[in-house]
Amino acid sequence: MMLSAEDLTALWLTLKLAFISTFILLLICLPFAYWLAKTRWRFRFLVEALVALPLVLPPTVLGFYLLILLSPNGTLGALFSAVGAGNLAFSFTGLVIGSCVYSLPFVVQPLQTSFSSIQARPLEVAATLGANPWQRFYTIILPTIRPGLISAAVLGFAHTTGEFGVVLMIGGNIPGETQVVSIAIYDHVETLQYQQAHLLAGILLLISFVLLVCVYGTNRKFRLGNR
Amino acid sequence: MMINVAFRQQYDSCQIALDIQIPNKGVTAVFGPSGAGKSTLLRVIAGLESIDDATVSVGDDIWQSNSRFVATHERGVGMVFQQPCLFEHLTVEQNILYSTRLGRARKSLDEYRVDDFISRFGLAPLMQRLPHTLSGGEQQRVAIVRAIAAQPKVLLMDEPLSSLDDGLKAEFMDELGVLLQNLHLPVVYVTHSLAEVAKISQHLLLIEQGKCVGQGKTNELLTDLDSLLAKSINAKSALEATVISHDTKHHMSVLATSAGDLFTTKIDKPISHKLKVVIQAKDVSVTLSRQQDTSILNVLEGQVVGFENTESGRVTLKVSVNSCFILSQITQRSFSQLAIDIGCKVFIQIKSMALC
Repeated sequence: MMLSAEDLTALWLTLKLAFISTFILLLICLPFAYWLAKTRWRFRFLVEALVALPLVLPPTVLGFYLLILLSPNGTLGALFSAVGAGNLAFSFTGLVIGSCVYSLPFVVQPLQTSFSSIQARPLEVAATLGANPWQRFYTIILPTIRPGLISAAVLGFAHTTGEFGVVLMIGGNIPGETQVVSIAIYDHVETLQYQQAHLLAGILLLISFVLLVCVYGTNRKFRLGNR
Repeated sequence: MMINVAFRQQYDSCQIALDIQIPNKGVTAVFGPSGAGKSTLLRVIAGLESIDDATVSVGDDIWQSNSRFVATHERGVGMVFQQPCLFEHLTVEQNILYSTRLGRARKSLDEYRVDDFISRFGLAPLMQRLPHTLSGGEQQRVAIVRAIAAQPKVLLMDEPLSSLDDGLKAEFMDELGVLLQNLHLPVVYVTHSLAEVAKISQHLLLIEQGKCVGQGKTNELLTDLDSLLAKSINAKSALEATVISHDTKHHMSVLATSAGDLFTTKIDKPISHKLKVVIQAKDVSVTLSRQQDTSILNVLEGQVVGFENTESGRVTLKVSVNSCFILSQITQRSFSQLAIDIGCKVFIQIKSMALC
């Protein structure tokens, strides 16, 4: 039994969404988590609570607010419309924005933990050895946080791949635009196409498992629960 | 050419106010009790401590002034901390070559005798190991070589031997003293061990409660009766020495010093090897006439040039021997029995086994 063209598109869309979201999240979260780990600002806990919200909120609640935000009348939606970038709600770009919010804590928290474990001394030593701030980041900080970085990327990727509620709320179910695997599976089950549901679910299971095996196999320090 | 450092900083317990000149050659020890401001001094020189109104200059290079602050990585300092702090994800070799790989190297590593250090410190077989597989002593040696391989203009060392155990420390001190002296690089060496001061440094800065209370050549300052060093139970004198012969039969070596030849237990160094011999004041006794029937091999004739009563019944004598000064610590009882006074001719006796 082969995947239908529609299922293949959903699979491709899911992977594309996960890759893009993870990439953007890492770009945002590296400096953000560094700031969170190092700041002595006394209201840091407010930011931390805000970052952790997607962990506890029902996806429908998060999706609902995101929908409001992304709709043509919402702040972000209006902004995008104004610069001629089209409608955000029920679009792939909207999904990327939603995923980034939804998976934010999964990327921020491992990174923050890793950054907190970095002591000032090795960085001072590196500075006396002639390393400028960028070289210190590249040669000392990055290798030290590597397990956390991998952990963050894997969690962000896996969490985006399995996203359902938020996607349904802000993306709907448009094949080729917003229909991801989890929703396609739901569709198949609803229409009693169990075989296709099996196939897609199996593929998702396999991808997740292979990903984790690769990470655990290459990085003995890696812990998913290391948050 | 001098290294000039001046800064003021108020801490909870004390105020540090230093304005000092450090010779741009040789090893300068900075000695003082914990919390006196020694480490802060090094951090200011390295640019790791941002203190307003501090001034730091090395020769014509101004590293910090009112209008200027050169970042640590642009200063060209090498720093060895109390703890080795090796980069755990890099091998010994990668640690040592860290700065070279950043493209900081200006000259060939030969000039800084890096290979020499690697072999003398016994690091050659460890080059591919990761830091966590090394002992504390090995790690600290790597840290020292790493700092030197960065080709610094000034080498800063913050109690580099304090994490080593005593046996290792004594052995390592000799090596380090000789190697640092041959570096042709100013070294600022912070310590609270008088043994390290005597063995390793040529110049000495005394710091107490944030202030510089004495400064000069190490050998002179060690024997200065006005300084606290000469009054302490650990008072020491130091002499430059050269190995001139070995007596393998009796397991002894003879050292030539400007005070005269000294016998010592066998030193595992070749003839004409230069070293510093440190004499503990409490290991030196005095007699008024030359003793014939004594087990002590080192008897030198000298003249008492000063004495100082110390607490707990001891007297420190400063004896001039062939224009060198050697300290002797005796009890107040012996002092009055022998009726010693300034100008008095004495023979000082030093046990060979006490020389190090």
